[in-house]
Amino acid sequence: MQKECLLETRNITKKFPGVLANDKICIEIKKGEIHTLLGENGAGKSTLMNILYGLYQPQEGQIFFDGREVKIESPHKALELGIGMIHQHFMLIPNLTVLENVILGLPSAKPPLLELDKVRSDVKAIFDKYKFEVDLDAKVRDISVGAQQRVEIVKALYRKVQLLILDEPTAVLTPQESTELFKILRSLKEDGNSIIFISHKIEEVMEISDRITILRDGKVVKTVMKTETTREDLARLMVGRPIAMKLEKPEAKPGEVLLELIDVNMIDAKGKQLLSDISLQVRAGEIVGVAGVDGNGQDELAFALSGLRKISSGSIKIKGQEIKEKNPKEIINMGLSHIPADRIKHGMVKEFTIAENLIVHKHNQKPISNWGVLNLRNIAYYAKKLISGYDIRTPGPSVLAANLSGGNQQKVVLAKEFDRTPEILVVVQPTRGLDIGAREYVHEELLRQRRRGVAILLISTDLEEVRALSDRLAVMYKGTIVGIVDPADTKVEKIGLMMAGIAS
Amino acid sequence: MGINESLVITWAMMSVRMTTPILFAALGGLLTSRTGVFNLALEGMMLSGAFFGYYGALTSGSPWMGLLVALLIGILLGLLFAYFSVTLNVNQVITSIGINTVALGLTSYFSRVLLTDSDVIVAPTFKDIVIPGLSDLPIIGPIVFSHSILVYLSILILIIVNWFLFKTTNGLNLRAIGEDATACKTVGINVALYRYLAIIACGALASIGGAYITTVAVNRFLENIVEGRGWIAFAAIIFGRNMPLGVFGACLLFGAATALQMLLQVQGFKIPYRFALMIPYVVTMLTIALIAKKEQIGKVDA
Repeated sequence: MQKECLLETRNITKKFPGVLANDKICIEIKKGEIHTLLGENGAGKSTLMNILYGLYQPQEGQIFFDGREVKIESPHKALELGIGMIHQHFMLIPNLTVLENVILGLPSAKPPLLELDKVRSDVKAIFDKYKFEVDLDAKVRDISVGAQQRVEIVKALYRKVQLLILDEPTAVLTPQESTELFKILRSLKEDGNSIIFISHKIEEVMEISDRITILRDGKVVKTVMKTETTREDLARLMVGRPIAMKLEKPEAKPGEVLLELIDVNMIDAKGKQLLSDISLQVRAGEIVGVAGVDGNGQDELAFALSGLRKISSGSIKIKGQEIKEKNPKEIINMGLSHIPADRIKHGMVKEFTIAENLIVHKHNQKPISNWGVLNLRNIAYYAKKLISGYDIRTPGPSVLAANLSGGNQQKVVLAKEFDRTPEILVVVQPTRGLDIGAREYVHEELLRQRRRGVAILLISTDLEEVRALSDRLAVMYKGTIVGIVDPADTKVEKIGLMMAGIAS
Repeated sequence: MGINESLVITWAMMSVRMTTPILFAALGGLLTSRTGVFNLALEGMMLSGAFFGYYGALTSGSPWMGLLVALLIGILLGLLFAYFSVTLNVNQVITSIGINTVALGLTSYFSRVLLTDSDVIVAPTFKDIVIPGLSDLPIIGPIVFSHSILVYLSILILIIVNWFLFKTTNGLNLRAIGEDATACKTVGINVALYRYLAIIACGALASIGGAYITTVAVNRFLENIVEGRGWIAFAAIIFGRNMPLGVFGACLLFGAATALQMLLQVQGFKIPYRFALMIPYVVTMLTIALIAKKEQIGKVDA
């Protein structure tokens, strides 16, 4: 049946410095449908939703709501129109009660007094209608995450929204809570509300959606009906970016095992299993890739290897030596280098100059410094050598790292790490947010390290990247390795299914 | 017994009077702190209020005029602080240091330039309002019911602030902003407007607190006459855990310490007066040290 259109975007374009986050996005949300936006991190889903909720302004494009063209210049305006959004990080005030959070920002029935009695029964009615059990007078900080999400939903419903946007709502929920959430969303739909559901998890998308729009690199790839698609199709559409270049990748000549994980487990303070029974070997001269959807334990794995987080049980060995009890500096000195996913936060000091960033590991060694006094001439010489060696595009070594483009920042991180001639590299998301040229450069650099005989563990959510570079590919799902495949003769679809936890 | 008893009553009465200027400033600071803005310029705002309140009263011959001038100056300083810290997003500490430094310099400068030629430097002050009947009550009478109008005004404002914060929608919004401003923006609250109004109210209140010193307690202006009461007020906000009644209690404590110090001097106790002078500040430091571990001063976000 043909349902009426509630919201339509035409050619929405949003640029951030250096990134085209949304490129001429056209989507249509019908009344009473659950419409999923599916895409990888950085595909532009959240940017688009923040535009619809008035937090960002697009540079180009139009938005139509209920047939009229609208300008959404603030969340206030969005709420007035009837658009509500539940952010990934809840927008609740922990020290206020549930009831106070629901009515926050709304005018009172008898201003200026805070009128809670009438409101209480209205809010209670909504909670009852959807069979939520929440104590209205409990402080939000004392209720569970699932309950907090329900408070967010009631907050939106109390404001009479017709369109509810949920940004990766299941990311923080247990499977049982997710099931509950889906029930709620379905009954909201039956009441005629429209829902935009943002996700990168194919399994749940197939469970909850009516229609699915796939976003990739800021563009709409396709909009499909749930009934007319398959998990495999979605996986292909979501991750299948065209290969930008063919890498010259000579046959690997794996040597001895340099890095070994045996039954590694990591449990957080709340008892949640972050890594379970991970066993993996990386040999000299090979790249072992780790694929998986973001948030399935990759970051924890990298932090465990670099000594930033302790493992609960199991063993990690570098060249046969246990590193479980060692601190990051000792691990670095054993020959391991870590290229972190967040290069700005963990990989560099952005308020420092390029030269200062390049010498962080050797600032206390000759000839960079002598008796604790920095030798500025030698530092400049050394920095210039690396700048030309790694093709860092900058006017000079005294430029602040913050002022470089993402690609050049990454080159600084690589130069700093590779110049120490590490034997083992743990590389996480090395090309996230980089343009094609910089990406190619990083890939070639990794292959060069491989030729040098370095054992490389490449962790990336960019499936194309790990497939192209890895000699062996481990797929992670929910903190465990689902399987290890040969990327050269395994189909993308198969890997996609493994990432979704469907196949092994 | 008789002498000791009257001494205690005098001490209690003076405590109330010493509490008032701190309470005005602390209630103002409480409002900004509840919006997530830390106003460390209370001292400078009080000092400005002290000078302009005095000068207004001196030139017009009426303490009411002095109070009005102080109020306007306070609003102006509040606007200035808000413009820097909210609109321009300048670090609040730097803005505060700026205002404190300018206030100290300008009031000292003005007091020299404007007051040299004048023979009359004693300004008219607010007289105590002795409430008939009630003030005759034993003990309670002199302690509670024989003060200047500003003392009663400070208590009235305490009640209003408490009511506003916890019984009105705007108060709820204001409290929420201090907890998580981003979350408030997403429900359509005009965070900047709330912060502006809170800071302006704070400027006005701190300035009146300063004017109290020169239009009630003393009838003239001396350089740096506020003597750190603005900082004590800030300490009272933290010690009072951002709750109006808690802040009132903290102000009473600091006020009592100040009164004790004065009493010790007047009574001629055999301790060097410099030690007596230290009492209120030592009490402030000790209380802050005691709670510093348990309390967070609070987080500020955009």
